[in-house]
Amino acid sequence: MPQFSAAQAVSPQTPPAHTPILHSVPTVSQDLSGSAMDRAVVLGGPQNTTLPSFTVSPRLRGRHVLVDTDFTPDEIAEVIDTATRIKRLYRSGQPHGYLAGKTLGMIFQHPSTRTRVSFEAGMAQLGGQAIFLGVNDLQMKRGETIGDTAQILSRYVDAVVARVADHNDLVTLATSASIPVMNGLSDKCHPLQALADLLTLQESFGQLSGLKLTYLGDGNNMAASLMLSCAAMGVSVTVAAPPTLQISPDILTHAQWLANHNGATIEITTDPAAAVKGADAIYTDVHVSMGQLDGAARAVALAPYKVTSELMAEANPKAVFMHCLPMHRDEEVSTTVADGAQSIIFDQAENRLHMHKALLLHTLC
Amino acid sequence: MIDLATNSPPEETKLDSATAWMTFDPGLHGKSILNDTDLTPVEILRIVETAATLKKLRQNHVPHAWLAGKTLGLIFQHPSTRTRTAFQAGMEQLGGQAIFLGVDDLQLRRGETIADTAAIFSRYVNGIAVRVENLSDMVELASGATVPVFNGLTSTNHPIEALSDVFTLKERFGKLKGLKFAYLGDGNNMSASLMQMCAAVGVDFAYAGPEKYRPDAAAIA
Repeated sequence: MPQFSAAQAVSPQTPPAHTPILHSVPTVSQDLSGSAMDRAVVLGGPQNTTLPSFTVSPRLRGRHVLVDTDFTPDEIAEVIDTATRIKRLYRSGQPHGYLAGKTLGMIFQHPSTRTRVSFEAGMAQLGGQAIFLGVNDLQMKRGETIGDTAQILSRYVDAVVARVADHNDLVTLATSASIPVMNGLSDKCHPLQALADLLTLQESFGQLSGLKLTYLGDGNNMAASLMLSCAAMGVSVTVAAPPTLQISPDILTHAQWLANHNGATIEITTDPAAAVKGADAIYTDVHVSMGQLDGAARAVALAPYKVTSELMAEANPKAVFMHCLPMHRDEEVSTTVADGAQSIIFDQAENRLHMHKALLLHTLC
Repeated sequence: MIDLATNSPPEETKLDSATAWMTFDPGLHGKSILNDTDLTPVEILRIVETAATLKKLRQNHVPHAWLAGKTLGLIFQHPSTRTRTAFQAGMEQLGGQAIFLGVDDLQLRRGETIADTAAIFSRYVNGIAVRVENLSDMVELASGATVPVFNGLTSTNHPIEALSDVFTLKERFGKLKGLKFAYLGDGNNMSASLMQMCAAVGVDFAYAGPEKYRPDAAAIA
């Protein structure tokens, strides 16, 4: 971090020479109405000399992020690129308050550390603000419908991120809202985490296509999102889960289809040792999540899927260990792996921030 | 101590300008404040001077948003009025933002270690202010963090309160050395911090209280 002084804070920033231009389309930033939707939006630069120039395409403007299949592979590649560039700005300490005056509403039915703090800090870094509404802050309990809540919030804020127990509530929310709605984790999927993980994989390996990711454990919402998002980007996915906790057939069908069209493969097995062979990334999630009542039975069923040094040794020599956190050491992963040299869990957590900021820029630009 | 002299106009003129500027000694950059003894006497005096300058800027309505785009995380195990509001309002006045997380908001209850939470927070925010019961939890949190951690009260000490009290004494008496400070009552976290902070800046400290409520021997030493 640079030593700060007011002189530095008020002086105009010169756009860095390396600021890449994302698209070859003409950048006519003055004309953003109607027909200009296919052009790029230029943020900062000559328009606002205190901010470095930054370009995003407006094709994701106003879009929801509810499930992994909401974005095409092309669009996923684009948000990964934007996240990489916004991360570079953040790392070099350059101001990037492109969303000044914008507000993000946060509706959270469950507690959250990463999703919440990364969105709140991300909005602050982008010059906007976030309004957090926990389950006790909302009047939903007093009988206001989700649809009404969504319509009203749409009149006050510019986007909503919601963490709900039931994915159908999220769909209702998005249907009634006239602003972008993002899925901050539902019982069905966790697309924001999967997108951030793709960014992390891209950073670790320099490419996505051709990689193999093995997920060990519960065939839950996280596994579903990883399968769909990875398949779309040409990353092969193997899921090793106990017979009772397999991934749902409709997700599997969809992922198979995506994989076939993007040069990847999808495998389902119950054998962890076979699954990790040749893997570039080994991923796991907590064995017993919040609110699950059958904890003891799950723990027993999932015990063989714990990520150990022995399993890591079966994967590629350069393989990484990933976890969406929070983590229970020595339950789903041994401490030596979790805190070892192959672990990139905190990079994953950090990339949530950059990915959220990229999505906010794309949907609100 | 604060280098206000280098190429700068006299102080009065400076406060009139639309954007005041200030130069800091970078010695405290990235430093956590967990114990009263984390700061040297010189550093304490520098912070007090900086506080006085910032107070003047605020009173004169001079913008001083030097932390634009920065965020402070507040992790509070216990309720708080002054520490919370002062940090949140302070961040806003400096152009940044504060994120408040009460105990119900955090996943600490879900078995995530304090060090893990601190490591993740460090990737999102630029500083963390913490209020916890045990100083050992604070130390564990700071060990996992890669950004500065501020002690917003533990059952052992309250260094930030003591720092601002030293600032108040300085304002009131114009000096610190040679003052005598008498503390009456419970020999608690507050008295421990005051004792150490006063001693560091040359204020004589006297404690009077019932035998069984005497301050901790460790703090006296």
